[in-house]
Amino acid sequence: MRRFKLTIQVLLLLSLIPFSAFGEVAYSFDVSNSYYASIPHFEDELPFRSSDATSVALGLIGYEATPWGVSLDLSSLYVTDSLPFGNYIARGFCNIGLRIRGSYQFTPVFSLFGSIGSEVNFYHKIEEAFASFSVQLGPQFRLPTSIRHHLNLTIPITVHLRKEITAPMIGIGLRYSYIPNEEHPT
Amino acid sequence: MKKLILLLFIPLLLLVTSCELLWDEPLQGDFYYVVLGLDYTNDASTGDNGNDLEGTIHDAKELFQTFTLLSEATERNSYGYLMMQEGNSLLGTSTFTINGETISNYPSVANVTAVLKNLAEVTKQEDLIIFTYSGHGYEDTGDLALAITTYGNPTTSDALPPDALLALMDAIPGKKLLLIDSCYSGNFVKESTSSTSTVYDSTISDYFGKYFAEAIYEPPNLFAMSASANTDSYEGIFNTIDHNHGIFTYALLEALGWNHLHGTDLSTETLSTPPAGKNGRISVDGLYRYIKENQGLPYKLSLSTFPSNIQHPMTNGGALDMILFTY
Repeated sequence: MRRFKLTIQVLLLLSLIPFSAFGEVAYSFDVSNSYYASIPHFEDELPFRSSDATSVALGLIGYEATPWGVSLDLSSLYVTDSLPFGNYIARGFCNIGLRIRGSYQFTPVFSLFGSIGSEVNFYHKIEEAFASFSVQLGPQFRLPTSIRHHLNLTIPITVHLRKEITAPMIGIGLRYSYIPNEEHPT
Repeated sequence: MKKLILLLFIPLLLLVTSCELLWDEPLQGDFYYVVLGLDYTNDASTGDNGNDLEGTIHDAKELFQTFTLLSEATERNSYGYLMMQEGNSLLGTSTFTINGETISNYPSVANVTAVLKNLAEVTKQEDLIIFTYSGHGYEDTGDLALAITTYGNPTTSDALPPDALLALMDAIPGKKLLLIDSCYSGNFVKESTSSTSTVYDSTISDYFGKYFAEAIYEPPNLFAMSASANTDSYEGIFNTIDHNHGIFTYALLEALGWNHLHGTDLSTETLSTPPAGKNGRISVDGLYRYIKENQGLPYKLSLSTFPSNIQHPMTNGGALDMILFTY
């Protein structure tokens, strides 16, 4: 419990850092689809089980500057049941959580992003819940858009850390950002 | 652009080459089913004010026939044991021979224990063993009220506590499922080491507390599904079929494809496609969800259901769901 409180406090603290001093406020929406491999910490019939995962995130508040960007995202993940194999199926679930996301722009088109977060998960068919943490890293590519509207193609590589399973995910997604105060060049 | 298209196909490529498609599936073994039903008409508390149950014998007979038909449909070797206390007798109507021991089909604690102990000697890891119970459960503890062995009121020696039954089942090799249709049967569903039930009171700190707890998750080979959590469970008369069933078992039978509009000769019945199945498989979670959504009582109290009785089925948590039948 103390560790959970500490995690929440760190997330809140990070969200209060005055990033606005060096960037513009940005709101974002992120969607991605990934392959989800459940690697068990227990002896299973397979080294890992495969599911599909769809992620949606809403950037509650964020700041974008060149070359940095940070945001606090409300994230949600929907994972299907795994492909049936042998005597078991890895149960599908959905979750909701918070994550801190940062990005670093290397060229006008290419940047790297990363995030850390924590979630509460609920199985689809049974009434059980569990906690998890996640770490994400990946490249993103700016698609041609306007100054206030940014659209990035993302390739998120995520590790979903559950008590009994570690689940690497790789997928593809889009991240839209709206920067209301961004000035047009004169 | 070509690189981009290549990256788009990575998730698809991983799915196509995933473990499930490349590994040989483990063999499915034999199917054993032990089906118990008690009507309690032979104990001292008979009559309208007694504890007689009118749906349990129907539950047991129809479940037994359903499992027999399912084993034929899934082409598995099967061994069924129907144990019933029906009427005033203190004796069974037939016997089984398991592992060389002859056991009466009268569902007393001694006979049920003997069946399960002997099954432990003959079953293998790849087998499926299902144990069902339709009868009374003691308040708060959920102990099964098994058949009395001397006339009079039931005594504590006629009860089988959850821990005792779980221990007997644990000793049996194979994949196992308990289906308990009785009051307080949630006691048979043990808490998972990796997830927390949201049916009982729980908070977000419980979820994180379990994440950091030392208890290790083991792949489950014993699942339990109960009619209720920590409340009574009920039976009802279903007008369309003109006989009683447990609310839970009625939905369970339906989930498995049983035709409720059957004749008196159950042996001539056939199963329809199980509505709880998906892609030719029936799993514990599939059954659980079907029962929860289709049982004749609400599973939680709300303004729209008030003041009805409620009955919340339960099953085990954790990362894995168990496949029971492939057809």
